[in-house]
Amino acid sequence: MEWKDPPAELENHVVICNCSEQVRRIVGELHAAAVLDKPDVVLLVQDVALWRQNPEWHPQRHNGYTQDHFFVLVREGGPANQESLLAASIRTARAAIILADPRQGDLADARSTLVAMALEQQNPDVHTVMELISSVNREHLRATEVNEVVCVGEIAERLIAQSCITPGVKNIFESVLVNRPGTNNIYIMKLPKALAGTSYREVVRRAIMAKAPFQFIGFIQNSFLPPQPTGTKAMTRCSADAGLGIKSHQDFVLNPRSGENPGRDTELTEVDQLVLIAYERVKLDQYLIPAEP
Amino acid sequence: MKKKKTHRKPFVLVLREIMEPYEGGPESSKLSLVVDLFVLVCILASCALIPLEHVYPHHEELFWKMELIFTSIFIVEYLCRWYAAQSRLRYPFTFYAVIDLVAILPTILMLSNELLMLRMIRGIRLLRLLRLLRLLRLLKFLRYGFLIYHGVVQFRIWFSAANYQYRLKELGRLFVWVGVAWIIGSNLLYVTESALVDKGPFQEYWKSYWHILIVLISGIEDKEPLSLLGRIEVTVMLIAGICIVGMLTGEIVAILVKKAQRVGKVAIMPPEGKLERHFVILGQNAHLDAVIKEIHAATHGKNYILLVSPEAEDVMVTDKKVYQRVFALSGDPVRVEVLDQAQLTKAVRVVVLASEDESAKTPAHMVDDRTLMETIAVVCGHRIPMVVELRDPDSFGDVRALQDCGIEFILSKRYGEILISQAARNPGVTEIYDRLMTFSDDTNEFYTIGVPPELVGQHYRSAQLYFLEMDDEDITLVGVDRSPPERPHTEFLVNPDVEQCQVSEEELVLSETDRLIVLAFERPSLIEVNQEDLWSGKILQRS
Repeated sequence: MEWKDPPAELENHVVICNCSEQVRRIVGELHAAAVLDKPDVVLLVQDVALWRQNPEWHPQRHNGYTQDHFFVLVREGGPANQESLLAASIRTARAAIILADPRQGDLADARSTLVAMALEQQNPDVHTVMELISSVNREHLRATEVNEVVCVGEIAERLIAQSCITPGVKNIFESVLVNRPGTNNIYIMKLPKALAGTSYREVVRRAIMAKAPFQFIGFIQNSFLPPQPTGTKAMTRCSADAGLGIKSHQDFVLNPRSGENPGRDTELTEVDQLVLIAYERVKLDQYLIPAEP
Repeated sequence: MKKKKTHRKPFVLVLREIMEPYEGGPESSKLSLVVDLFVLVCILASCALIPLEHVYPHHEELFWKMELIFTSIFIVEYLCRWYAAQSRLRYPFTFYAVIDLVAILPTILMLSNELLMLRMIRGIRLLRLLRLLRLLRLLKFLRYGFLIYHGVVQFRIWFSAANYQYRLKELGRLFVWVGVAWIIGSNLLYVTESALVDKGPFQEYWKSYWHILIVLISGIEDKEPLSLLGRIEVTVMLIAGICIVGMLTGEIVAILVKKAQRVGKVAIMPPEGKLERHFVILGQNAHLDAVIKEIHAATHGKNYILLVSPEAEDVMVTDKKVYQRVFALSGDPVRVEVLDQAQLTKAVRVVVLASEDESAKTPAHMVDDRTLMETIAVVCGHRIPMVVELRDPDSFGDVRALQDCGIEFILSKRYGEILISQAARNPGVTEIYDRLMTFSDDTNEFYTIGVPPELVGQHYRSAQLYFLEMDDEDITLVGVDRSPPERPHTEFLVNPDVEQCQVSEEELVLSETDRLIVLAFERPSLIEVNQEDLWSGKILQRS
């Protein structure tokens, strides 16, 4: 049975560029039972023969949701082709995952980068996640607009070392990585505006006192450059940031230290984000802001 | 832009850090090492005074003054430790505090007025006993037991490596032969020349040593003997000298050639080297370099790493500092004799990497077959914490029995795939995981610690607040581990929640047997490290 073609109008979906053995698990994770906001997924395939020859790469059909919300778009020109991207409704996509093309072997990073650049041209607001084959290329990607780079091998290396030093710690990572009912994930969420000016310590204290079903592990301090004139590429990029300017620097502060800045007693601003462990995406206001009498 | 404040530790914490035996971690101060060495020297010197007092009784006053100085140092040390202790009330009754007190008490008793009276009446025997009791301060070494043991182990490994690299054994043997030839030759010439001729260069005993040395080393006939027998003996010496110099040159050339051949490559494990508390990595693949670097970062290069694979000797050094304590052992990790050479019984951890033959493009399941064989080979004779990398998801289902033995399996690609999907859903999380999974002085790691006594019987939320308000150490509580001790992190709750975890509020009350999962920059000093776990290698001395 063939997979469906994507409908003409898709919104808030995830586009996967290139097919490889990773597709099955990634779609499985995105459509896992524990995920509340399951996205539609469009797979952009260049080599249809390769896709058909490897049924083990296909998502599991017994997942009814996947059956209806996973689409395969076959385009000869490849994912870097503007028309292919438009056909996948990239302009309204939430995220794009660029997988390493298995036909390119160890040299796939160059092609993936070209796809990333094409994606950013079409939709600068799309969150781009790129699979990297060789970690030495990571530095080169800093100059591009790729939001996140995942080197599959690197994770394994780090987990091997972590488990080696602290036996069993792999299970803790697994419990926050995997989407299973009853397991946690790490979320990054905006600080509720009403809490701007409150210290991180106070925010955490409120969550504990409110018996919140999540736990904070840190925060992200965002710095912005001044707003650019409208219509420029820079302004388009920061449209999601409500005219604050271009996000120029992010400071990740996990387990904030006492007596340091940024630290536990740092006053958070409305552009800062909180890092939390939670079972599902939650509404922070509900727990952190006392209800008015 | 906000100015970054400098983090200033309270004095009591700084003092505690200094008084604790040096561990070499990111937060360990070098001053701590200096204090440790100073105290160790003081202990040795003060104990040396006891026999010296007997041997040189006329210097008794000087020795007594020195004894008073050492005792003052130990009193200051005792008071500092007391002041810096986590619980000042309980500290005097702890094991090491009692030892410290025993170390200073005899001298204090000798000083007391009452005893001075006793000394006048019948105190000689008592005084002797008190002097001998001062030897009890040798017990203070117990506190530094691990530091001394670690130092001895490191020195022994370093020496065996230097011995192998610089052929010290062969060179030593050569020098012994030179020495023997020198002594025999000098004495022979002296006796011969003294008996056969009246006057000559070899008639002075010590000068003959000098002449023979020149003959042996340079091959030049410095001063010729006058008797025929003496000349024959010098000729023999000359021939021996040429041989010795030839051998010496050969040895030096061999060392240089060997060194040149191994430039940029990992050092070979010395055949007679005795490794201890080392990491063993079986097999090699593209992950090897990164794994070595992560282990080095985690242990601050304290432990040696041994690579075992058929091509281990060809592994290139990518960072000299990291590879300083890495040895290569060529051989098939499945073979018992190779595993014996790797001294697995003394190792603290074993990592089995999926040995992939890149050129042959071996199927994943076949790579795993080999990896599993290596794992089984290790498991058969030893019980060491092991981490095994697998390639094929299908292999995962077959390893249940090995998992029950406490072996951890990591499917290399799986986590990367999950992270990609997570990143698509939760923008920014890759950076968070990156920081959590990397070992460095500025990043956090997960640690599991015992429940502090004041939190036993308290609710999990109270523990969260306790760590939140604690400013001495930067710790974030993330969960509770209730696994059996032999299988850590198998039964745990991260972010325990009554509804989600289907537990009652009572079940979230912490007990003595619980362990807390925390995020911290270094191993929290809140709970003292179990010395048994440290010696057995269950806990690695990181920081």
